[in-house]
Amino acid sequence: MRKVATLFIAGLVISGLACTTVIVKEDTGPEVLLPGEMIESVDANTMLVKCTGIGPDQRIAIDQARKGCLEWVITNHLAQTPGEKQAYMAQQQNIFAKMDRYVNIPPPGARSGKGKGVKSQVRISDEEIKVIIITDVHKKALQDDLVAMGVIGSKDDMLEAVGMPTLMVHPSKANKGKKNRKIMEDLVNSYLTKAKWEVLDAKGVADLNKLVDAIGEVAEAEEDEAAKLALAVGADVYIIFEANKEKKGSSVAYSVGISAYETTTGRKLASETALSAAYANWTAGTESKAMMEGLNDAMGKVIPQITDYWKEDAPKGNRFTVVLKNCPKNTDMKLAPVMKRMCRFVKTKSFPTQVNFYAQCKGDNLELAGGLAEGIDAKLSGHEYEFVAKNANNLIIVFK
Amino acid sequence: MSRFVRVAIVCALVLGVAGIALGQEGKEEKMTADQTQESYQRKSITYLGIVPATAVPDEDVGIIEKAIRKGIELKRFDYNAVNLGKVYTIDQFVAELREYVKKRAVDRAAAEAEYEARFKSARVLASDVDRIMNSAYFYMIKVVAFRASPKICPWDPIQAKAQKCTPGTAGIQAMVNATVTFWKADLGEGGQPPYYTLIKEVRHGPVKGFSSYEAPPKPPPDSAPDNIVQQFRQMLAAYTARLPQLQHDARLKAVAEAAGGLSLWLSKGMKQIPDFQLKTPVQAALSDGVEFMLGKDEGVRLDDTYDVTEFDASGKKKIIGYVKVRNIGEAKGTGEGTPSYAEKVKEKRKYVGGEQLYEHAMIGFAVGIHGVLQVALTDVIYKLRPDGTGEEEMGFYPGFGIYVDYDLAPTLGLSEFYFSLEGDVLLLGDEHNLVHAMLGFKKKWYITSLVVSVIGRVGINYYVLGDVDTGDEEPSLYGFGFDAGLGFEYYIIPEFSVYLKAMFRYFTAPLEEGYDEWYEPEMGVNASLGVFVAF
Repeated sequence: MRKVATLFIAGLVISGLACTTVIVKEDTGPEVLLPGEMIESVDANTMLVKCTGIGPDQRIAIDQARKGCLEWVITNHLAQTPGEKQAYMAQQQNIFAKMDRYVNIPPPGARSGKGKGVKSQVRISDEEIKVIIITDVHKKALQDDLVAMGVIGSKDDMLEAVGMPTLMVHPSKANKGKKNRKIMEDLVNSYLTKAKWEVLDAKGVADLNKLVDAIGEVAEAEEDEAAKLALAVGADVYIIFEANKEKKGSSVAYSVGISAYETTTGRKLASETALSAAYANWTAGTESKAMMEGLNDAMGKVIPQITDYWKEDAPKGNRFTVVLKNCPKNTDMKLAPVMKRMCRFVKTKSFPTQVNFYAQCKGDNLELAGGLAEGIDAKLSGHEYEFVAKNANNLIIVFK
Repeated sequence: MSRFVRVAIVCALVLGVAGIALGQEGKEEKMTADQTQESYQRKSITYLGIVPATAVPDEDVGIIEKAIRKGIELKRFDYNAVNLGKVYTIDQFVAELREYVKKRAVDRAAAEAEYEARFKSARVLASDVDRIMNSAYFYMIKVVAFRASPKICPWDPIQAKAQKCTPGTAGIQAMVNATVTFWKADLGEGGQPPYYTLIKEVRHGPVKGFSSYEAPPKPPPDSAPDNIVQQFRQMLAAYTARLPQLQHDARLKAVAEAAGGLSLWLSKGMKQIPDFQLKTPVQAALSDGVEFMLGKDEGVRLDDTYDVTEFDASGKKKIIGYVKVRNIGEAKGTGEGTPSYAEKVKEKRKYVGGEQLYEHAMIGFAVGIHGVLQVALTDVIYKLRPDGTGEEEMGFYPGFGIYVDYDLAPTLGLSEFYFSLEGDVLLLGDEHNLVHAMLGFKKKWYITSLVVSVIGRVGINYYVLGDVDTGDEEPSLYGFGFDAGLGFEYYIIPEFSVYLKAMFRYFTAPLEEGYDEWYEPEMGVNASLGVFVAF
């Protein structure tokens, strides 16, 4: 009897196991999400992004939208190469598991309906709703984690090798006389400093006017004064800002234009204009709020372009402007071969008593100065000269 | 350069600039929620004054104005009182405001200095102007009908209860009708005069109020001694001297009551205007209700009803349920603060969060009618029956009733707690009827659409007899008693529900001496089935 009972129980257990449904989760591959849309750059580390998500309830749909924001920032701003994008896809679920670190849950929106929050929600079927959200994406934290995971290369490693570009900030000609110029300049400098850029101040340079005079005309530079100052202080890139107040009835908005130029050649690297939202002008502090909003947005678009340019250009060597003032005849023809032996991409501009060389050289400014001195002594012997400046990106030689 | 090339370049430049401009302006639109996630934004509403379209004494105008403004100037608005009548017409005032806004955009300090004197005469302060500019709504009250006349309170107890007066008393009945008209001013640049548009004229029918005053002294019987008669004459003379003041005071009370009632309807009408209607998205969908970010600052009240709606992809709106407020939070306009909570009372589709709530304006009172069947342990008038055998037997009385409930939640802070007035008529047979008039309280609990209520009331009953010889005197066949029981309702829409009640009832036999032996105390149970309409 006992044996029968044991057999019976065993039979029940085995048949139970046999009947148990085993769920095999099929690997459906990476999630397919709806693309996002950049709204503005809040500051150097944060972006405001608009995304869409679909789900059976609001919570799930918002999470899908947040994933969409995350993926859009990664594939459009961080993972640039096909290899990096593939690496992201392979790690997609691991990254989504830490989504709260990178993408905020949209907060309860303001009554005005503007700003962060859920912007729209519609039912698309009996089982699903679609939501559109605007929320913050913490780009810096995301970038650091992606580098740590090996999904993208480290910008810092590369920049450590070649060095970060130095920047100088200057108002546009149109903005020079405006009363908000100082406020705007301070805001731009503050933005760059917080983002850990080296910002050079023209006021800190001794004998600046003498240097600027010595530089003379900087050909092809749209904003000549800014270009000369940038050369004088030794900034690799100079930034021109223009802020215009837009008034409409009782509201105020700011249109902010930011342009970045490579100093030695005057080549435009980036140019963006951003318009802030309109704020009621009778409430205190709204004008500077509008200014800062426009600035953050424009800078957020310009800075990545400067970085991309620098990543590509810096490994090729340092850029220099060499100015030879009061030089003897045919200095350009005699010294051009000297420059070409030391540098690449040498471009020459000749004037009646001045020659400008624009070059990209592997050596630093002192090596270039030494090579030039030897060249001048060899090719232009008998002519006295002095080095008025041997800055990081420009050498100024004045013949007596 | 050929003309074609020049035109092409100009067009490209114009399109390029327009494209940039459109792209820039698009950011503001991108960051703005659409109609599916709309929230009520605080409005500034300016009162322009009251206009009697018919002859109304100043005193009464003041009472009507006060009562109606109380119903219009709710917490959801910032409001400013401007004494336009003596300084400006609406056109002039709006024109001044527009000019001020224009000058202020250029130089705020100069504009404020220039207009301070002008606006001061209309009692508009600098802080008021900021609020007026914010949303620039104006309203005016117009009294379209008014009457106040002496009247005797009806003897019918149900009618007397409805008019809140003692049957047979003398008093003043007032009838008031008024409209409230809303406009919105255009303070921006451009536009065509007049620089304001009509939003809506909110109307309702006339509302009555009644207030009784002291009755005259009762004359003594014919056989009274002379000194009693003399005393009566003195009292009558004193009463006659006081009567105008008594009637005046009663008139003011009656007007206040009528205006107060009218104000409730006008307030409801105003809340239905889209510009003023409270609306907000559902912040969180819970198992038994929703949370949302409106609260004390907007004057959200306990038991307020909201439509729960969702939109489809084409933008079509559909109501998927209703909720009633059970807890009021302190939500701020910036999205901070604590949310309010509303309980589900109807759910056609499961709430998923993010639905759009729209205020469903209700006054808070309901009127129900029902059929009733009462089973009395003892037939109350078995001794009066023509074929009465003197034997006790049970009584089965059909009938009908009507009740009025008034929600006390906003006053007492206890949700779903009602003050209940009911009258019913039971048909006793043999042309005898038994009338009840009761008042008491009702507390309801919702299990989504099924509503359970506990009811307790006290009142009077009154026998209306057919052909019964009661002698020379007409007796007052009143008794006192109470009833208590349970009610079950099914919530269909906020305005309409069906209900079933089961009550235990006890009323004494008529208290008039000598009649109690003909009647039995009324003790039994009854069941009612009916419908009610809520407003």
